Amino acid sequence: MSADDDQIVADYLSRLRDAASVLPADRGNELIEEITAHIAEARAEGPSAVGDASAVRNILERLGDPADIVRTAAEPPFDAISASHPASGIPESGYADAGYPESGHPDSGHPSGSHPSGSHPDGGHPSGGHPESGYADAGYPAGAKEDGGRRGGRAGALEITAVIFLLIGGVVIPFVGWVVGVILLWASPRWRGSEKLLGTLVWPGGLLAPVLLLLGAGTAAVIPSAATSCSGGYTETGVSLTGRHFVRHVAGSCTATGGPPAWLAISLAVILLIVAIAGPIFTAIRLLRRAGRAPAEPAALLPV
Amino acid sequence: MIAGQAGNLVAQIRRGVLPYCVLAMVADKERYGFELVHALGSIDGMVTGEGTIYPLLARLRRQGLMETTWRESATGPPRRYYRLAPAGREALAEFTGSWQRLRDSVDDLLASSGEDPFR
Repeated sequence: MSADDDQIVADYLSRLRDAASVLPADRGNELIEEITAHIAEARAEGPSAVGDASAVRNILERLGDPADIVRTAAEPPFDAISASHPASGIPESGYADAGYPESGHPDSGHPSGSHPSGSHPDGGHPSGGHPESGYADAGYPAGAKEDGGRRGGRAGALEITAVIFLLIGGVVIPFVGWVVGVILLWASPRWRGSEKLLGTLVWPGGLLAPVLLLLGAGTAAVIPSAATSCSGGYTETGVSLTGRHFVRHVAGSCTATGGPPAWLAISLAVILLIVAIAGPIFTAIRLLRRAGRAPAEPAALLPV
Repeated sequence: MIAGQAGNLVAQIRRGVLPYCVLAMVADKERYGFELVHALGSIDGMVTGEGTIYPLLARLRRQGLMETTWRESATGPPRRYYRLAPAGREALAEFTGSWQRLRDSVDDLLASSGEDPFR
């Protein structure tokens, strides 16, 4: 392995790094690492593996043009496998051939509907003879989508019902209603496990908790806070000037003997109330937004 | 159909089946990246550039169809080994059935008609 070889590799990787600057940092770095490792492995295997004296050039030729590699990493995937298995983050590319017909964006929640090239075995073929003409106008420029798995589409009926039950089911039908919401939540294919967990823990009872709090606070009228003790009170009995018996209680002085002052307790209660209301509502909104992802469906085949 | 589009069609088919081919290659045993790329690149006409397979591997991993493990290598830096995830196994099984049906149908059609249907 000569210094020239090293230089050739360095040049190639430099071109790759430049091209990869259009990718998100984590993907770009990962790609560069993988290609670098690939080159190292190929070189380590020796010329017998690549069957050519000019091993390094051969290796790089087989790898292909850095611009092509990056382009395949940046563009939306071509195949229907991505329509049913949306990847997280920015979607990836068609990978093999130079003529890249691009499909409709598979992560958009429209697995087959909105793009003619989606899953129609015979319908999507462009008439112009140029593979890109029928697909490139899908309206999803490379790399433009930040959140590929979540845009487009709307929460389905199941998801909306689940969220409603989670929020107010517990109020309408105490506890049972919320349980129904939880069942629907976990039944939906549109949420990940972590999202389902969030929906279950924030929080049990949904809006039932703050409702109970409000009711409790209403009947109590005042939140018991300061402990008080009174001393010096006594009871008088006697006969008034008009001859009537009377009993009179004379209160002594009452002092607060400890515990939080009333204003603090009320503030805490208000904060608790706000959290108890905001928590479930925030979770509900988050769940609804995340439900816009396409549900997992069996892959259609060979979109051509 | 315009004459000469068969080449484009084949290219598109190839691109469509390539992810499934990758899944098939890790169905029985796990393989590391270089191994996969090298094997696919050796199949005539499968890819134009081996480098373009890496984004595919990453995507299949992100989609949950493949899982990876890093393993130490005696000959160098750690290697990333790819294997089929349950979702990938399902996808592969479904593809295999559909592909075989399609392949058989097309073969029958071509045999019986005796001429290129893409005219």
